[in-house]
This record gives sequence, structure tokens and C-alpha cells, in this order.
Amino acid sequence: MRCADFQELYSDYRDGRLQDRARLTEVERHLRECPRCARQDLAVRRGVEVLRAGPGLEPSPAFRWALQRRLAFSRAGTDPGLAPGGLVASLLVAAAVGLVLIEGVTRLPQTQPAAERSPQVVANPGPPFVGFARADPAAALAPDTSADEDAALHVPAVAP
Amino acid sequence: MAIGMHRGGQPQLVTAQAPLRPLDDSSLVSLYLAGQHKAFDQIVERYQKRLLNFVYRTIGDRERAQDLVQEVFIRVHRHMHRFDQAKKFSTWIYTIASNLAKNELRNRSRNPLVFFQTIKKNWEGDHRPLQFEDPHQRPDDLYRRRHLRELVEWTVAQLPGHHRQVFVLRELDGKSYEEIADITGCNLGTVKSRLNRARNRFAHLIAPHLE
Ligand SMILES: [Zn+2]
Repeated sequence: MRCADFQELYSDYRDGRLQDRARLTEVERHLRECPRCARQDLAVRRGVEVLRAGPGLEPSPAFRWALQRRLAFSRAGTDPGLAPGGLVASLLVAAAVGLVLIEGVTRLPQTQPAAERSPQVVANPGPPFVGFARADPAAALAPDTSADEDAALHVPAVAP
Repeated sequence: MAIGMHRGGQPQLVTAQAPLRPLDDSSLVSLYLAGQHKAFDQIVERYQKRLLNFVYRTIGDRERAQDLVQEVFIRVHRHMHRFDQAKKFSTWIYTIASNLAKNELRNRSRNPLVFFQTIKKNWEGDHRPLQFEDPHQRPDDLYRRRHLRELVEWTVAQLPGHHRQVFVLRELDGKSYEEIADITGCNLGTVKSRLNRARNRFAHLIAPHLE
């Protein structure tokens, strides 16, 4: 067996899909005799072992909270959709809204005219907001009408 | 109370308090469609980490991967009634994730600045002190191990996008060729040739670091 033949059959061999006994024996013999192909096989096996042994990413603590919030918006038909940096941005928006509310409550007894207390003073959009798809808060709460939604859902497993 | 179905088994009565964890995907979907919302939480619990890692390895940006995985769950939630229960749920949810990740990669290729910022951010990524990783290991072993893991992850990131996705689905998510074909929308021949090329390239890049 030549190296090119081995390369051709390698994935079938690694995934246990090589049904033909004679071919399997040839591949195994080539692995014993060819240092180059044996080196490749070893690198795949060891490399994948290292990948599998890694802890992997965990969702951040805010992940479920933000998802619940988006699901609630989705049920109400007001999901802000997929904005860049959405998780961080939604937390910042929530914090900003909280600050505006606190600000409003603590200043209620004062006789300051409402017009002077603009939320913009508190919720100053710094660099983390750069990725916002829609700067206008009302627009951000509009239903998600992203054109790619049906494309992303277009899968054989969905009944017509 | 609702009726849950174990794949190939008898229908099983499930009360609101019954533990959902042992149920298979198909039963969870049935329960959710029958109005038991806790079943959806269990689906999220079951898939959030594996989808996050799949999308992250496809697009290379952990924050954006979280956003996309959330979007996957939103779409599953919104369109569950359209899911054909004769099919495998995990293939459906991975297909949605795969399509969103592919769209993201396409958008990124049109915006080199975003891509550059992502690479820079990931390069500065892991700042956890080594001693928190495993108290039973020597710091130099821990360092070597983490360094090797980073190298291997970097190697995966070097593969072309459509090769990388097939490689991750097979080697890390354990998907069959047929499932990968469904998820990626390719035929079996393409899956096999992409997997072969991905493994070949992966081995070529990582071999010098493993010796
Ligand atoms: Zn050879």
C-alpha cells in the first residue's frame, strides 16, 4: 500500500468504518511499516486526546439569566434579536435601567422639573455599547425580523 | 401531569415534580409541547455547554459564541412545534447552531477589523492562576499541560472553517458521518473528504509539538 492509499482510507480506518478485512489488514501493516503515516496517526490521536481532556468553556453565570430574559421577550413578541455583544450589552442595559430607576426614586421628593432629568446623563453609552445593532432603545425592543432566521432553521429535520 | 415517551419504550406518566434529567431528548420535546416548560430548561441544561464549545471552536470568539447559543435556544423555543419528532433532536439543534456559526463566519470575513479584534482578545484570554487548575499537580506540569492544550486549540483554529466544523463534530461531539452530513448540509462524500483533509492538516501542524 502506498501512502496516498493510506491517506485515502485513513478516516474510514480511524472511525471504524473499514469493513473490508483485507483493506484493514493492509492499512494496519502500512501503519507498522511507514514512519510518516504512523506519525500522522499518532499526532491525530494524541492531539484529540488533549482536546477531549480539556475542561471546555462553561457558559458565564449571566448566560441563563440573559436567556430567560430573552425568552420572556420572545414570548411577548418583543425579542431584541441577535445584536453583537448581546449578553454583555443586555446586562449593561439592565444596569443602566436600574440606575435610572434608582435615580428617579431617590430624587422623587425634590421639586426639580422632570425635563432636566434625562436618562441619557446616567446611561452614558461607553465603548461596550459600540457593538449595538440599534442605538434607539425603542427600536432595540422591536421583534427580531432578521432575514437569516429561516435560513438558520432550514434543516432536513423540520417537517414542511 | 403529562405523558413522556422513552425512545422505543412504553409511554411514561410524568408529574411536574418528576426528575427530567434521565429523560431522552424526544421525551423532553414531547413534554415541552404538552405544556411542561421545565422540559425546556432541561434541554438548555443538556445542550448549553456542548453547543457553546462547538460554536466557539467554529467562530473563535467566546462572547459572541454565547450570544449565538442563546439565539439557538430562542429559535428552538420559537419553532419547536415545527420540529419533526421522527427525527433526532440533537441533529436539529446542532444544525441551527451550525448555520448561525456559518453566518457569523461569513459576516466576519467581510469585516477584517472584527476578526483581528477577536484574535487579539483570545490571545489575551486565559488569565486564571495556574494553582487553581489542579492542586495535585506540579506547576511546571500544569504549565506544560495548559501550553499544550492551547497549542492544540490553536491548531484546530488554523483549519479552514468548513474543515474545522466537520473535525469538531466528529472528534469532539462524536457525531456520525450521517449526522454531520445533515448538520452541515453536505453529502457523505464531502464530509469524508473534509474530515480526511482536516485530520491530515491537524496532524501536520501539531506533530512537531507532540514529540
Ligand atoms: Zn505512509
